[in-house]
Amino acid sequence: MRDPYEVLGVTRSATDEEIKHAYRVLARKYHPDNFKPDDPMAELATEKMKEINEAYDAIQKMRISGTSSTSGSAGGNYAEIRRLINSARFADAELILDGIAASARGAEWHYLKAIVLMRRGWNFDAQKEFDTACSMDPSNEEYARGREMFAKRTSSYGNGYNRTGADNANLHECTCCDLCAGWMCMDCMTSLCCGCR
Amino acid sequence: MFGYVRPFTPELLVRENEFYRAVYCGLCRSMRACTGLCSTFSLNYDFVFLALIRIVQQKERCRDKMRRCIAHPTTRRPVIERCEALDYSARASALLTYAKLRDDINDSRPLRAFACRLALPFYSAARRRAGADALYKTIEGLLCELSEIENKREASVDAPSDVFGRLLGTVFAYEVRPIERDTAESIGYHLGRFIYAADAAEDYAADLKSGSYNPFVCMSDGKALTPEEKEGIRCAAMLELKYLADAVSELDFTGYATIEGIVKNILYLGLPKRIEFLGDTGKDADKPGKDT
Repeated sequence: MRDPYEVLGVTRSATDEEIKHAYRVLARKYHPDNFKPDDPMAELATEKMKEINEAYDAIQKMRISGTSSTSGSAGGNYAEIRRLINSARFADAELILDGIAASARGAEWHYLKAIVLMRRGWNFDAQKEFDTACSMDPSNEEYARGREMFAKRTSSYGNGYNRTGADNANLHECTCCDLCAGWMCMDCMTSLCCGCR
Repeated sequence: MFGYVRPFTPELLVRENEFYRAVYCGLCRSMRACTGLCSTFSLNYDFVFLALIRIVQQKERCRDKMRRCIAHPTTRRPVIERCEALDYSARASALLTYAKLRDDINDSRPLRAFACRLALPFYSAARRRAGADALYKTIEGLLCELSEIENKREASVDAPSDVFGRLLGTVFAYEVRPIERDTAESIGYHLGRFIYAADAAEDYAADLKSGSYNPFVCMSDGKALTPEEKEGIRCAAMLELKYLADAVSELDFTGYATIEGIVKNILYLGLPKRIEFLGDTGKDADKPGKDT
């Protein structure tokens, strides 16, 4: 079977919401209701739909399992937790994190907890954990970059929406600002050309 | 918390604003017909948004007619005729209002609890007429779950937001066409999470003073929010809006250009306005004006 993340067109670090969204977009595209029964594309669409469903189920199993076979290392093996996070086994990672005693939770704990929360879509608590990690270890660049993850994921929000029409408004119109700017330009150019005012 | 989901009217096209008003009036009419006159007191813009999404998902045809009404007896105005989407929004509004009143009777603030007790009998009839018993049971159960989390005063904003999101997700997805169900649930879920968290952030200063439950207060150390903390909350809320926008982008707005314009205005202008105060530096801002 192809890599399930590749089938859905997402990266391993995608949040649960991004995965669900990718699944729904593909499911709408290849849904059997979109094709007439005698359409030659109908059979291809059905196969594609099967592949998409299998990929989604596989990813859900990996992420939501929560039955860690590595629970023996509850002594705070952050390397193990990071490995699980990189393999997108977030539920397992969270299980180990929650097993660490409250007194032993340092900056790295809060940072890794933030990553796991964010992947689950619990943004507000994730923000708090990033803040705690940064305040416990202000010099750590990795923790400081945590908040940038939000900006990165939100960057496509509102793309293509331009209701204020600011770009189009002055296409064929002259406003006061345009006139002033025009005069200032003329002024600069004449002083450049003539060398005097 | 109600009345949060509104467009930024200065940037609506005239035809979009007129259609929006007509849907609002149409919702009032549906409420009178489906759940009785008393239920119209809880008429608010959030359920107009629910109706708009549902019209697109259920592929309803909207017709309008010039009508007078009790609130505006002198002039006729365009009103969208009753349809499944409007009737459902009316019923959902009655169920949610009734469930919220029952929940608030146990509020610690005696005046609020008393006001709820007074209002409850008027909504009992509306709740009965609304039907949808399965939906009501789910709403009641989730509000109960929410109360438990709030009473525990857990240091988490996402725990209660998640429950409220699931509540609104259920309302949006109820009896929608199967192919649209997941999208509807996702729209309701992210909208619910955003509303709950943004409302709590807005009430932070007041709740800190009065000692009322506020998830952000539970997470903080009893001080006012610093500008960095506010920026953090704003980033998290914007990410929630991004997920909401993704879910809305799955809808097929073909033939619904006006509704698309309104929904996108709400999504990219109206809702971000609710968290604009978080971008203010200095003292906590007053509540943003609702009359945009």
